[in-house]
Amino acid sequence: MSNQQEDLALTCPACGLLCDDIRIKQQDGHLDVEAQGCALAQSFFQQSVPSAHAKIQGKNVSLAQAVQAASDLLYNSKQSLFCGLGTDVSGMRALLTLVNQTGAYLDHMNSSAGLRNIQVLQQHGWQTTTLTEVKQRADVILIIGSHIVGQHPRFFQRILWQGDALFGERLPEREIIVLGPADLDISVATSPTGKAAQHIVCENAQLPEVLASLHALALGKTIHAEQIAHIPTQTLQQLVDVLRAAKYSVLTWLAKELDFPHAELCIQQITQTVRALNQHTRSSALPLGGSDGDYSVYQVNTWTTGFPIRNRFYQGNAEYDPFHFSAERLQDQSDVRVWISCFQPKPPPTSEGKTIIIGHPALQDCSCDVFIPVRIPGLQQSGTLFRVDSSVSLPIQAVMASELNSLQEVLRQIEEAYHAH
Amino acid sequence: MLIKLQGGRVYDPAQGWDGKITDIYVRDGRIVATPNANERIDQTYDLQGKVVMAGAIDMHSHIGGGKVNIARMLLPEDHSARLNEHVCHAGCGHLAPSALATGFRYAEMGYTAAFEPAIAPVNARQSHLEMLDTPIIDKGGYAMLGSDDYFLRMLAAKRDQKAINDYVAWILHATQAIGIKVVNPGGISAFKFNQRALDLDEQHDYYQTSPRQVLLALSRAVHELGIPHPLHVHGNNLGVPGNVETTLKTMGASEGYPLHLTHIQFHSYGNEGDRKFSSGAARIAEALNNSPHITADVGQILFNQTVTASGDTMRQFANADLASPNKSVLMDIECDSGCGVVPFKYRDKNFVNALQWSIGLEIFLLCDDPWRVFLTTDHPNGAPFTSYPHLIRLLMDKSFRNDMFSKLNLDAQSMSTLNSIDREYSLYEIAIMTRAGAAKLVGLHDRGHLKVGAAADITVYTEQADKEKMFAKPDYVFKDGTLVVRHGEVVNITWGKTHTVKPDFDQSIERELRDYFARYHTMQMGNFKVSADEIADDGRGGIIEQACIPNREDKA
Ligand SMILES: [Zn+2]
Repeated sequence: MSNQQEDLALTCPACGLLCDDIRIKQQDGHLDVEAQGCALAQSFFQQSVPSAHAKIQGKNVSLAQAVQAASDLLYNSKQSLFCGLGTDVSGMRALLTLVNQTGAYLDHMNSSAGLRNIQVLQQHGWQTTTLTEVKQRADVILIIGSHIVGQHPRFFQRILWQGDALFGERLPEREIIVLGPADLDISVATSPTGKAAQHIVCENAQLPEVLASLHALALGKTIHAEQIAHIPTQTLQQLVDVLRAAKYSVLTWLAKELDFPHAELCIQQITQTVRALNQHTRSSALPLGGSDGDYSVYQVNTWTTGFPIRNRFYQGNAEYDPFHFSAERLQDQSDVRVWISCFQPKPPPTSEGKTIIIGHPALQDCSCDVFIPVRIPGLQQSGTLFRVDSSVSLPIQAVMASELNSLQEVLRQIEEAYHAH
Repeated sequence: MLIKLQGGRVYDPAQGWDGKITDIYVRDGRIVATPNANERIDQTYDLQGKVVMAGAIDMHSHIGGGKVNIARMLLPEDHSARLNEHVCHAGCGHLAPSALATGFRYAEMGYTAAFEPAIAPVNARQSHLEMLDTPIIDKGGYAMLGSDDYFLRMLAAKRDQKAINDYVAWILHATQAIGIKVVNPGGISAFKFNQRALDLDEQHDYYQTSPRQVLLALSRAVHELGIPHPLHVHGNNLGVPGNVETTLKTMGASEGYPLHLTHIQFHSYGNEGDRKFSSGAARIAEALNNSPHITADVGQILFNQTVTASGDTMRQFANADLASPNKSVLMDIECDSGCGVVPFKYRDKNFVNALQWSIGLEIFLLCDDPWRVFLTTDHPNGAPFTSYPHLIRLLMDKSFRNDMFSKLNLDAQSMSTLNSIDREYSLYEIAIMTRAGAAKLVGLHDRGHLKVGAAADITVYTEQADKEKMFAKPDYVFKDGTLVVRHGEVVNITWGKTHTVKPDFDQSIERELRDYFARYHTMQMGNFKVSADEIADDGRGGIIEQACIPNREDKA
């Protein structure tokens, strides 16, 4: 089957939505986002990538020398930590092959947020949906804790409003309700046809109480208090009535924005509310978020080891501990830290130990023991990424030439050098 | 390299060999004719007294894709057991093993191929990624249709059969699949519209189509396109007492086009007796025996912890209250399909579970034709695939079976005829069910037999009275001529290939599909399709295209 015209559109890896309709114009080695792009897509595709060199202690060396130095550090390490993990499916597969040899702790830069969701899944399960179902089916969308667009600038425009309806009403006519802080600008949720979102003001600190009450009301319980965290109980009852009357409601949140102790309990209240609603009508949860290949890393790790993230590899076994194996806790206990960030020049947190950085060429000025620049996936290297709803994965493309190797090739070389010890 | 397998007792039903003592020669991964006397034989295996069969083929096992990975993620407790018997890449698990463990465990039992029966088309890339990381065995999958909006819309609009055939063929290409599966025909979609049950002749609230229409259109498409594997059917009303009626009607729904009824045990329940739950096995077996266009695999349950993973969101939602441990994941997926993952523990003292166990075995033993009934546990739904040797012993050893039966819940015993059935499967019949028959059913023309020219996927056992021991630990397993297992342990890691079919179709349907994706979906059509390059996986994987023989003429 030949490549068709629409295949020229690119897939943007900048957030978990993986918009695959980004049109790019190429001129003199420079890319311009022509259509559909958001600010994140623009800064990803229009970045100027510096030419970068492998380095040891800040001095330019050949790739072979850097690979040797990295493998020496790993070979002599008692306990290494691989973190950041900003990579795609192929990079993660190569990484797992390497750490299976070397032994290591493993953690992704976004896992604090990711594990808030995963812990709910592992303890209680949940009922979720995917982006096309949301586009075509959701008649009421309840957004909890934020307005989404900071993380996913095109969420409303591309997922909720753009395109034609398969079943019934025009897409921009659906109900959007935001349960979130007073300072949110919810005008971003006003549809192209002028339909405004409803804002129920609730500071994040009050979410535990409010969501527990919402769950109770969804179960049909009566609440005698007149107010829940300054929200009239009647307002919450009306909200539940709207959700119950909906044919297919969607309750969505960004785990990253729910950054307070025991946020997973809040998320559990959301998913239990969905469960209660499903006794009579249809409702689904939609956990949003994602960047830097996090969903891909969790998926590959799960089919390879059985565990999502935060692992210890030791003598061919993988262990999982979402608390103890966090990079933050481990970075001073490990003697060698490998920081991987291929999509963005995100530097590692400062640390005392030895640091190897493998990643985006613009990380070359970070101080570290060994630096190896690699191709940027989705820009200079083709590959595969999982979307935020996990069921969908998409190819990402190489549209810019690069002299560098891919992460997977560099990791393969490090593994080879490691074996030669 | 010329290998001689000397003097084994060969069970190769495709050639009618029922324990024939003969030599088999292997060169470059294929079985070859007896060489000239002057040709040098590089290696000889003395197999006197050993049992030789083609590598076994699991025609229905959930080994890769979204719901399998959800099952893994949902059950970290399943993976915590240390894997110490092998120098092995990290990754283990029993109910939902890691991709690597899946390949190892299959090969260790003499299996050389397994087929993922429920590839959600929109999730096909993930299914293949997981299967590509599954070593040694060949793989492939069946693409799920019948609850996808595009198909139901075609059916509702009464599009002609040719248009449906083109779409079915396009899906097979796009998903790199070897067959078409339908799960709760129309029901996964109906659940999204808040229908909680859907019987064979009930209408879908939105499309106004019935499961019967779905079955007829898809089975006819599969037949006319010449796809060797018949439409793979997970029927309506899975697990519902009394569903035997639905299943019997389903056999007639295709009007004579071939159907494969999968995990038929879960669809063979009567509603008689005090507890309104009874065995429908005898009626199902009789109908199967009298319906040459129907094949089935059993989906035997075995007692222990497992996890159920299915595309049938409607039925899994209904079962979620039975989850043990008490957690489940349900998903609506992309106006395409759905999935439900519910952990479950089958107990021999539980009336329903004990009767389920008996019903499965009754079906195995009452069906006359081993070419039309297949050995599965619907891994992991009835039990993990690693329990196949135990299941084979239950089929081959009446006294063992009766011992097990006598330990069951007493009420269940009184509702079953199992211990009055004397049949014991022979090695030849096991070879049909797990090799020759399975290969024929899936459409693997060069597998499942040991004829000259076949792929050298070969398993060698030592015959033992205890058939569970015998089938758990083969002496040798060859995959494409390479020795991969010796004495039940992996000695070489190879990667296997992906079997597909590529029926011809009118490519101009992509115009309509491209527009459909652009207008209604959140992904472009081009990205929906899984390319051959992706399966090639930089040379480690690869596609094998099995032949289709189109049947455009009317059915027999
Ligand atoms: Zn199944």
